[in-house]
Amino acid sequence: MTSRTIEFRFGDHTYAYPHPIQLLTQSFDTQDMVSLMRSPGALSAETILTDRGGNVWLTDFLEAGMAPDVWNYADLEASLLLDLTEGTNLHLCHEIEDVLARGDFTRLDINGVDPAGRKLLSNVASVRSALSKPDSVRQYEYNLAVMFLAFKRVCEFDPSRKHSPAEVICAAHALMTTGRLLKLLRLPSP
Amino acid sequence: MYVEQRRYSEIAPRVPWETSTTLVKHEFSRRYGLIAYGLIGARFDDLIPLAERCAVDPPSSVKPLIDWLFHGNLSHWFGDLAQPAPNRSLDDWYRERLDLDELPHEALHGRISAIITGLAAL
Repeated sequence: MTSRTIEFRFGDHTYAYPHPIQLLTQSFDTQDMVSLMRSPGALSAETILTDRGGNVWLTDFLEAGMAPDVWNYADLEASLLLDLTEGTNLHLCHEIEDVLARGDFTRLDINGVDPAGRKLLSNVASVRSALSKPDSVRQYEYNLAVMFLAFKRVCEFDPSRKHSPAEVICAAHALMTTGRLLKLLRLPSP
Repeated sequence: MYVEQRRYSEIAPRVPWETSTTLVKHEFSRRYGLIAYGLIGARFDDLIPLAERCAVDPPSSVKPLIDWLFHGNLSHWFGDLAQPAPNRSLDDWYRERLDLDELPHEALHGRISAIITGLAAL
C-alpha cells in the first residue's frame, strides 16, 4: 500500500487500485443542476421484501426524503455488489470489479466469471437496465453515487472490532469498488 | 396512520419493524403512509428479502422483481416528479447524506490499514 495505490496480489499478478484517501480532497462537481425526487431512503437487498406472487414490498423508511434521481438505483447496486457475501472471495471480488471496469454500463461481459460472480453481475445489470435514459451524464451521476456508497462502507470498518472473514472481504471489496470508480470518474465529467 | 411496534412484530416477526415505526413519526411517512399500509396488506409469512432471492434464485427470476420495483412500486408510491436542488452539487449532496466529511484522514488510514491487515490474516 502506498499513499496513491492499494495493491492486491493473486498468484503472480498484482493489481493496483487508486487509494480512496484521495476522495477526501477531490471534488466531483457535475455541471448540471441536481434533480431531486422522493425516495424511500435505504434501498437494499435487505429492505426490499418479495412475495411468491412477484410483488415487491419495502420497509425501513428512516431516511426517506428527497434524493437525486439516480440514488435509489445506485443504493441498490451498492447493496447487491458489496453486501451479499454468498460464495465470494477476494479474487472473485477482483474479477467482478474487472468486468465492471471493462464492460458497457448495462452489457457486462460475464463469460469466464465464476458462477457466483455471474449471478451477482447479472443482478447488477438488471438494476442498471431499469435506469431510464442512462446517457453519459446519468451514468456519471450513478457511478459517483456507487463510489460514495462503497467509500462509506470503507469508512464504517471499525478497527477496534473483531471481524469475520466475510466482513473483511466485503470491506476489501468496497476498497476495490471505490478505487475502480475513482479511476473512472477522474476523467473529465461529461 | 400509526400502528404500534408490538402489533407489527406480532404480524411480521421477520420484518425489521424498529426502523419502520420511526416512519410513522416522520413527516414524509405521514404523507406517504401508503407504503406502510401496503405492508399491512401483505401476507407476511411469505415475504422474503431480496437478498435471499438473489442467493437462491437465478437472475432471470430476480430481474422482474427489480423491474417491478423501479417501474411499478417506486413510481406509484413516490411519483416521478423531479425538482431541482439549487446551489448544491451532487458531490455535496452525496457526502452530506453519507456523513463522509466527518472522518479525519488519520482515521481513514487506520480503517484501510485494518482491512489490509485483516486480509493478510485470512
